[in-house]
Order: sequence, then C-alpha cells, then structure tokens
Amino acid sequence: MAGLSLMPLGFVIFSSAQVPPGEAIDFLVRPRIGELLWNTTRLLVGGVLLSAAIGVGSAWLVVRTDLPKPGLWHGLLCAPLAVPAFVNGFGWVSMTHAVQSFPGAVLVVSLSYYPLVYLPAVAALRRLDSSVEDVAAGLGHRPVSAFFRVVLPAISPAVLGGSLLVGLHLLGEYGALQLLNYPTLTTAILAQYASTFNGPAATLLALVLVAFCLVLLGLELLVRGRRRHARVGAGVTRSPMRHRLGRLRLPSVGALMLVLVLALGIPVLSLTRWMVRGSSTRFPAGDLWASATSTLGLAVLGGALATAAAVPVAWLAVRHRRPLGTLVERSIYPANALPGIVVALALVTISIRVVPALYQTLPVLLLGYAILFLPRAVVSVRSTFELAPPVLEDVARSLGCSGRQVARRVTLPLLLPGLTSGMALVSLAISTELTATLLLAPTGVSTLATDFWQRAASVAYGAAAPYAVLMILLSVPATVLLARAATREAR
Amino acid sequence: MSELRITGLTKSYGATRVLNGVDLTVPVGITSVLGSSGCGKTTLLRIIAGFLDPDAGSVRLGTRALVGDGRTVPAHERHIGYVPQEGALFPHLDVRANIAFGLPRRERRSGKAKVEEMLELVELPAAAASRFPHELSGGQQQRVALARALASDPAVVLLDEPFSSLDASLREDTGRAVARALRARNATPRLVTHDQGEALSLADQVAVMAAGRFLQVATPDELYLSPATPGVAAFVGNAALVQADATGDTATSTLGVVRLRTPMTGPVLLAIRPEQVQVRPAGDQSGPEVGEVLEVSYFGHDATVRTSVGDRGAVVTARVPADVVPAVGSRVSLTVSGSVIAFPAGLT
Repeated sequence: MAGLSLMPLGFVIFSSAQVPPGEAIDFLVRPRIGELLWNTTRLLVGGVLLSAAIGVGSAWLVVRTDLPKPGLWHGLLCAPLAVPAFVNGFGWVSMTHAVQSFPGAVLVVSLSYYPLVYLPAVAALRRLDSSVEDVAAGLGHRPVSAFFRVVLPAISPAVLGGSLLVGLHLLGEYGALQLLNYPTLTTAILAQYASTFNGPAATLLALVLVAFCLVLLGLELLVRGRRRHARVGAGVTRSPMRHRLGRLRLPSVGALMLVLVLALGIPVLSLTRWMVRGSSTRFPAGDLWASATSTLGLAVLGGALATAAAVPVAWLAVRHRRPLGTLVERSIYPANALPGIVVALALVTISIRVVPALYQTLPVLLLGYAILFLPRAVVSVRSTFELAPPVLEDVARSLGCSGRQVARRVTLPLLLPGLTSGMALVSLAISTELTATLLLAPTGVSTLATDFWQRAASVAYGAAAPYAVLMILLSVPATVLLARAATREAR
Repeated sequence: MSELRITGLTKSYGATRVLNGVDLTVPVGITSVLGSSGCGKTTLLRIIAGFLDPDAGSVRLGTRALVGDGRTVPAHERHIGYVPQEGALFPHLDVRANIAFGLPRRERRSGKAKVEEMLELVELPAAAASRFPHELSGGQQQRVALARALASDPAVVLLDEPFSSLDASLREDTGRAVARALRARNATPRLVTHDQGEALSLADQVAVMAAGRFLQVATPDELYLSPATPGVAAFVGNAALVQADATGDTATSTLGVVRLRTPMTGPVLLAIRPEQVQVRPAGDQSGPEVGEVLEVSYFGHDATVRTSVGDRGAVVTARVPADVVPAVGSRVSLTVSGSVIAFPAGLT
C-alpha cells in the first residue's frame, strides 16, 4: 500500500531523470516558467492567508460568541464544501469577467476552500477549555489580546493543518483557475499534456510542482515544531463561555452574510440564471441520469476502496507504534500532497508501459482515487481507532467472545462512525474530482464533473448548469455528515 | 467451587523481569494483592485472564490447567471475569447492554430480570439501565463494570485496582459497595489488586507483592500483627523503620528504650506504627527523643504528624487527635507505647 502510494512520486523523479540535464535546464529557466512560479506562489500565499482568516474568524464567531442561531450558521458555512471550486469559478466568470485577475483568483479559491480551515477550527475551539481564556482575563488581557495570545496558539495545530490542506488543494487546482484564466503550474501541465501527450515538459513541470508540495509540507512541520498542546491537569471541561458581541453583533452577522453570499449566493444565482435563460440550456434526462449514476458509482466504489485500504494502515499506526507502522503511515501522506494531475500522469504512463490492457480502465481509475484520497480516509479511521482501546477487546474476550465475535460486537461498532465519515469524505472528493478523472476515465465513461467541464470549457454555460446543480445536490448528504462530525467529535 | 492455583509464574518484557517466580493459591473468597504501581500486579492478572502468556509456570483452576502442561486455554474459554482499572465499559452500548454482554444470546434478549438483579447487587438504581457510560460518574462506571463481570457467573473474578481512578470520597463509597457485591456471592475465588494498604478489611487473604514476587501471603490480621519483613510492615501498617540495638526484651533507639514483642539481641530494625507514638510539646526539654515536626496532614477526626528524630534523621509518623496537633517546625517529644515489632538488621 505504501509502495503504491509512493509510486507517483517515484515516477516523477524517475522520468525527470531521463530527460537530458542540459535540455531540462534550458526548459526550466525560460521566463514562462518564472511567470508560472510567481503566479503559483502568490496565489498560494494569498489564498492560504485569506482562507485561514475567513475560516478562523467565522469559526470563532460561531463557537465563541452569542451570535444568534449558531447551528444554522454552522450548517451554512459548511455548505460551500458541496460546491466544487470549478463550479464556483464558473459562477463568478459567467457573472463578471473582472475576476479573471490575481485578486479575483485569490477571492474565488479562498471562498471555495475556507471550509478546510473552518471545520478543524470549529472542532478545536469546542475542545478548548474556556478556562484558559478566563485565566488570561484574570491576568489582565482584553478579549482581543486573549484571543491572539491564548486561543489562537492553542488551536494553531488545527489551523495549520487546515491551511496546509488549502495550500495543497491550491497547488493541484485546475478547473477553477483555467476558467479564471489564471495560469499556474498545474494548468500548464494539463496544457502541455493536451498538446504533446506527456512529453518531457509535462514531467519536468510536475517535478517542480512536487518540489513545491514538499516545501509546503516541510514548512508546516517547521512551523508546527515540537510544541505540545495537551490539556494540563484533570477536571471538568466547562462548556465554552460565549463572548457578548454587543454593538459588534450587526457587523458580525453582516460579515458572515457577505461570506455566504460570495461563496454560495453567486454560484447558485448564476447557475439558476443559466438554467432559466441560457440559450444552450437543455435537460437531456438520459445523459444526466447516466453521468449521475456513474459519478455515484465511482464515488461509492472509490470511497469503499480507500476506506478499506485505510483500516490496516490505521491499525498498524495506532496499535503497533513501531518504526514500521509509523513509516507505512507517513509514506501515504506525500501522495495526498501530490495534485491529481501528477498521480494521473504517473498512472497513465505506467499503465501504458507495464500493463497496456489496463490503460483507461476502471481499476486504474479507482486506484488513482485510492492513492489520492487514502490519507483522508486514514485520518478519520485513525482517530476512531484511538477511541477503541485494546482493553475493551480484552474485556470482551473475558466475557466469552471469540476473536471474530469481538470484532463483530465491539471493534466494528466502535469503528463504524469513523469508517462512515472516512467514506463520506472520500466519496465527496471523488464526486467533484476533475483532473485525474479527465485523464484516467475509461472511454465513454463520464462523470458529472467531466461533463460539466466539457460544456463549460466550450462556453456552453446553459448546457453545463444542470450538471453542476446535480453535482451539488449529490454532495449535500456527505457535507451534512461532515458538518455534524465537526461538532460531534468535540464532545 | 474450585480454587485458583498459580505456580512458578515468570514473565519478562525485554530485559525487565516483571514476574519472578510467583506462587499463589487463591481459595474461594476475596484475596487482595497489595503492591506499589509497577510491581507486576496487572501483569499477573492479565496472565490469569489469558490476555498474556507467561514465560514459564502454570495457572490451574481446580484440576483444570489454564496455562501450563504445554497448553493454553484462550481467554474467551476461561470464564474469568475481568474488571480493568478504568472499568472499560463499551462506549457504544448502554448500561443494560453492557451488563448483558457476556450472557448467551437468548438471555441477552430477555435478560431484563438479570440486569436488574445485577444493578441491585452493585447498588445502582434500576433507572440507570438505559444510561450510556459517558453519562455515569467514575464510581458508577466502576460498579457497572463489576456487574458486567459478575453477570455471567464467572469461575473467578479479577479486579485490577478498582479504586485507583476514583477520588477519596468516592473511594470509600464505591469500595464498600464493591465489597458487599463481592461478598454477596462468595462462592468463587476473587482477586483484587490495590496500590496502597487501603481496604485490608475487604479481603480474606492478603498477598503483598514487590518487584515481581510475593513478600508475604496471610490473613489481614496476621499480616498486620506479624509482618514477615520490614517492607511489609512499612507498606501495610504505614510503620516507620527505625534502627535500634536490642538487648533481650527491650531495644534502645533514638526514641528511647522500647519494649519488643519478641526478645532479640543485636542490631535490629523497629517497625513503629503511627498509633503507637505519643506526641507531647517538648518545651525547653532536650534529649534524644525530641524531634522537629516536618509536616502535618489532617484527616478530619485526627491528623498524622511527620517528625524527624535523632541525629540520623529518622522520620517517624504519629497519629494524634485533631485538637492537640503541634505546629510545623515546633519541637515535640515522642514516646512509644506498647510493644514493637522488630526485625534483625539486614533483612529487607
């Protein structure tokens, strides 16, 4: 499993090494590459900062203040998860071309990806014992200074983790940026691939992209450092005290409203508009049905595969804390850092060279999904494994359960919530995945995402809209599940 | 019902020997295993329950070998109830399902009467049956865990430090309830471990453990009145160990001349219990038996006073009524009443 996960990385390094060094250097020092690097870097910095600001700010408002109806706000703030970035980009572009710029790109991707910071921040804030804030107040800190000196450092691991995810997603983002006409390394790789089919140029660009990812991973490790964030001492965690917003109440509600209008309102409005008014709008029920069922099928199959693969990995990591288990667990994370495009390129090339019969078949597509999304499944399965200490299995055995009965009556029921949310996470990601699907899908198989993409890319906005709407509707159940999980795990 | 017999049990983790040739017979009734944490108690219980295999030795229940003779009965066929330190209730099941967990499938369905009977046994209200573990206090969880272990009428019951995770006030309550529940059906061997000399009264037999072996196995009064080693005396009776010179019936120490329970001669180690020591304000009196109060701990009706005595820095603990407690740092004179247990010097 670890070997499979590391395969794409190995492929990129291996095939880049085959390009003659002189040629490679000539290619990499062109001004075009410099421009791509600059574009990618500033998008990364801007997008991560804005997502983190929106995510942490709204999480704090929802969890820690007397905002009216926090439950409703929480649900609404999670909802953009159901709207893929490229649909969001489509919504904006078809409304105004002003977003085809650097600020526009930062705005659109941040509005799509801030939930990746928001969700862990909510969970961390709920877990945080509010007495640390009381102590800070007792030491003479005003609420704002207490937030920056005590609360923010305490939830920083969650915020950092979320920001890392946002960064990795931005590196791999293709659809939204292509629509926004904002060229980055990833869009350039796809363009190269489309024109020369995996020439050395695409591989070299992929190498640069991989280097970017590794730098990002290293940076996160560096910032996180060896800090400890355990709760000290026993005692009852009191339910969080909520700050009174007072005069700031109206502006706070206004700010959240603005986020929602920009992140949800615009794409929904523009989709509706194209559905109603678009000259190319059609409702080809057969096509829609076919691509909805294949999307659903792929999402369920891929989700089940990745979750099943995650169980032994998580088991090794939690129950056998030896070097081998940790190594296996760690080795799957770089794959998550690799954009879909790199994994897809690797699988295309390897399947053509090694087993041509498998090229563009279902197993390779599912394998691609599993490699891409295994880390997400592992993360959620792992956390539930930690809720099922071995002593429970000992007790069950002493009460007369054989090994298989222990698994059925104790271990499995305890793991089930984690398995479900892991599968939801992966299925959600698959049903809105674009780049890897474009490259790996068997001929004749199309998903809602690829169908939407084909039409949107050829400016048939009206024809594209129904696919986007279906995609959003299909994502709703998984999103609801994730929104619930963020508040439940905190208990 | 049959007794549990443990012979020559050894177990090592890497280079650390945790059990060092343990022999113990657990008759029907309650046996307490006393020992500080890390002395091997939990390992012993886990081997008896079948979660761990020993390196050598055997465990027998009556005539049946559980481990030994080259065969091992798997844990789920041993019929040994096990209550781990933290209770370990199944978090996904309510109290009723937890208690009924070990019952055969048919009884699990219709096991209402059984569950109510068990709840009554551990002195919990019948309404608790529909609660989930996270809605119970630590002491209640501990009782449900015991009820779960007792429900299927196991041949042996093992409790691993049942009170260690509870705070002082719960300890007493839960301790009594657990003792009553264990007594109520006293037809099988029950093995309870403790990390301090509490709850001696709970047991019919007490085994004191240190560094992977038993120092003494005896009834509670025997253990208290004639401990086998100074270590046992210090652990069980909270006795202070003071060096002395014995000449027949008496011995001379920094606390003056004390009477010995059994005549001895030569260098000895006295085990002086807190309740044997009388404390009086020293005034300007000086002498060998005058000490300085180091620390005072109140326990409601009385208090214990730790004093340092003599030039060799011996520390003696005395129990005094709450109304005559000396101040920390003040000088007091100590006298020992009654006869004192002594061990030949060199015995540990």
